[in-house]
Amino acid sequence: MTKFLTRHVAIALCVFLAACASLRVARYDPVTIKSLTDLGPVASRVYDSFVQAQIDQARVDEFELQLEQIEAYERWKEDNEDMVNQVKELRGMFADHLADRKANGPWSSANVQNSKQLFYEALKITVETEAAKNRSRK
Amino acid sequence: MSDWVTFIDGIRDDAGKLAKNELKALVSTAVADTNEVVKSVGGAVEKYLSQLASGEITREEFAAYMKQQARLARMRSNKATVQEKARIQRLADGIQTLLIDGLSKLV
Repeated sequence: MTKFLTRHVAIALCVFLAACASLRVARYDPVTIKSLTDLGPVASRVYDSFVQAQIDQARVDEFELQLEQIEAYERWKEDNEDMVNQVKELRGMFADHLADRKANGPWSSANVQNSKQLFYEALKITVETEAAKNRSRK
Repeated sequence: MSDWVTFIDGIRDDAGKLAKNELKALVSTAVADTNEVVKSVGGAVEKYLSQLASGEITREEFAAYMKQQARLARMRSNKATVQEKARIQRLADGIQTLLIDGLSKLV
């Protein structure tokens, strides 16, 4: 009887494991956390520069490159679409802000503070998404 | 009375297209919500409305902030999905270990 039950439980668990295969997420990666947290102070300087009459193109280019590199790194990992999407949203937000700055000229300090806070929040959610993953490696 | 409430009340709306009371209730309820995310979004909207009322920001900037708040909502939803997947994966990993190390020996 025990053998019969054990076999059936094992079969049920195997079916569960097979179903879980489609739900896999990549493991927690400290490199991703470091890259994202390093982005915060750089973002602050870029947004602060939006009050100036001229766009600091070199600074903007450098920042966009950093964002692009982070997305490329995330794309390289398996089962990592969720993080790729988060980084895409982050890049999308900055692209919107940059387009607005280019179209409407220098920002007010209120606009800088509000937009910076929005970007920080997006960055925080992205870091938390990575941190939510499982940490143990098998 | 808050400046943003005065601002909404003061908007001329002869055609009655703007549901002023619903809008005020929506923001006030969100600010007082027990859910931290709802509370935080409500606080941000309240701040934007106050800045709009004082002329610190433009209507276009206000609209842009709301668009980005919608983006943040998508991102929070994506984060919740990852948390849920990670929980299921932990359970699956635990079961697999149990099967390999223990249960399978009995079969």
